[in-house]
Amino acid sequence: MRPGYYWKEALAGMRRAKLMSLLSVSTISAALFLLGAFLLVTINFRSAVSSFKDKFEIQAFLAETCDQHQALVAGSYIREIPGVADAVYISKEEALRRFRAELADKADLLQALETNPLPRSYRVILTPDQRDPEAMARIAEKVQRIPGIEDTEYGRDWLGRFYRLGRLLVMLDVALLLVVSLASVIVIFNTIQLTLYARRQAIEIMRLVGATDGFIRRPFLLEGMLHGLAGTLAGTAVLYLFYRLLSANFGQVTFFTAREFAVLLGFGVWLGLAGSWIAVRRFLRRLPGGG
Amino acid sequence: MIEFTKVSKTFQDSWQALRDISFTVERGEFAFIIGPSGCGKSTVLRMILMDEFPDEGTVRVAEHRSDNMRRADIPRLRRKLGVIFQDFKLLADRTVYENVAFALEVTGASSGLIHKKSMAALNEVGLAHKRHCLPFQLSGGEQQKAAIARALVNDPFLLLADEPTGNVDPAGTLEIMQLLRDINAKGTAVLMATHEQELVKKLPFRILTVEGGRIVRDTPCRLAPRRAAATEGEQLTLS
Repeated sequence: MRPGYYWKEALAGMRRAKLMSLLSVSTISAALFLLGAFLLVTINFRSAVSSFKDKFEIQAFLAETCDQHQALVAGSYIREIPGVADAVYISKEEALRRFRAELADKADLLQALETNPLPRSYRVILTPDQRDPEAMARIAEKVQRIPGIEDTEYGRDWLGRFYRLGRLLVMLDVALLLVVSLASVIVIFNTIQLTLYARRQAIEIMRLVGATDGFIRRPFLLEGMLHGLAGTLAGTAVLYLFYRLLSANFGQVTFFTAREFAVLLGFGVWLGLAGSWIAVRRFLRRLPGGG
Repeated sequence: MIEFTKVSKTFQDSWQALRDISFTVERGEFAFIIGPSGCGKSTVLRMILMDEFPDEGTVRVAEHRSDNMRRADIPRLRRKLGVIFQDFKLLADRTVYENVAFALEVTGASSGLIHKKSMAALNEVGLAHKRHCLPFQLSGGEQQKAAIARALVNDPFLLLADEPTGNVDPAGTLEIMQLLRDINAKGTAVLMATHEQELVKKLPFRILTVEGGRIVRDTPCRLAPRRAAATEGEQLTLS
């Protein structure tokens, strides 16, 4: 192992093909910027979802005709449904008090009411793993069938839309990941291939004097990885500027954690490695005596 | 040490470069392979380097055999061989010293050893004073000497020379041939491919004449065995 030699050769390769290296790094930075931006949207969306996920609950309204005993029985039935963490009884008075609190300064409107029109209900709290539209629909249906329960409510429509949007974002991320990977690998492949052709004579001589393919390959792999690293750093730096701009105006926007940033950086380096690895492998196989 | 047994090689399905060639070269021997361009001389050298493999027959170089050579073992073989070419194959962007050191760098040798052996090889070819020059600053003969120094730096048991005097003036040719004789006298076998029949005839070494991919003549060395190995210090004259 001669790390000094590999670094020297990799940096010399970048110096020799300045323009191509610049193009390669710019393409990766643009690609990683785009991917990073979409990932940030997804991360922010998910953190927004998780922040009100604990509010995902089902309201089960008791029928007017249902007596207190039936109401208690209904509550115990609800608690037995798998996925239900608890069922909290809300009396008519409690419902009105909450409604008054929600209306806040418009609570005076309620003075006009002679009787309390709000029904008794159970606040059905779900276990964390059941806080998604499908599970909620399934549980709500079971609750609905319990005698004494007249109706259930859990914001079916908006919840469904919310989840569909979440899934769409993830699909977009995956699609973008594939496109970005492919584009970056192709660009690095081309750049390293040019470097390889420029160094063709040196590579032939290296082989003649007994250099192993691994020894020949390493500086080029390092060069590809440096392209990936530089591109990712530049792309995320621009992204960070946009983030600062956005968070200054809108607030409450999250950026990558150190761990997420490290993964993104690793991904960029891996793209560089993949592109250069394919280029070197192909080149060495095509050289005379390349096997 | 080198053994070709019934070796045939065809390129691009039609051009038969070698036809049923058999010969051996012993340790410490000096032999020429002569013949017109395209007769198969270079193919023989490339097979010794395991850069090409026979379609039929086997090539043995020391303990390595072409029929069971693993790809990963080829570099190990090449580190024990030296090779020089008509076009020198020096790296234009590196100094003479760097070109020589390059052959050791790829083996992973320590920098101290690289320096010591590179300087020894440059001294041996008489080029130590030009170690900081770039190849284009040297004459053809000097460039070939630099290539010889690079070939010697790994202490090879065999030096392969493919038309080494093709791009060198007559005075340079004399020097190169004298150098090859000196190297041989120190125990390194030399196998030199050339089409310069006049040059070869003036030297007493074994001559393998190749025509149309076959060895048509094997002229033995004209020196007594002990004398063939003791020509160091003698001046070469081609007059």
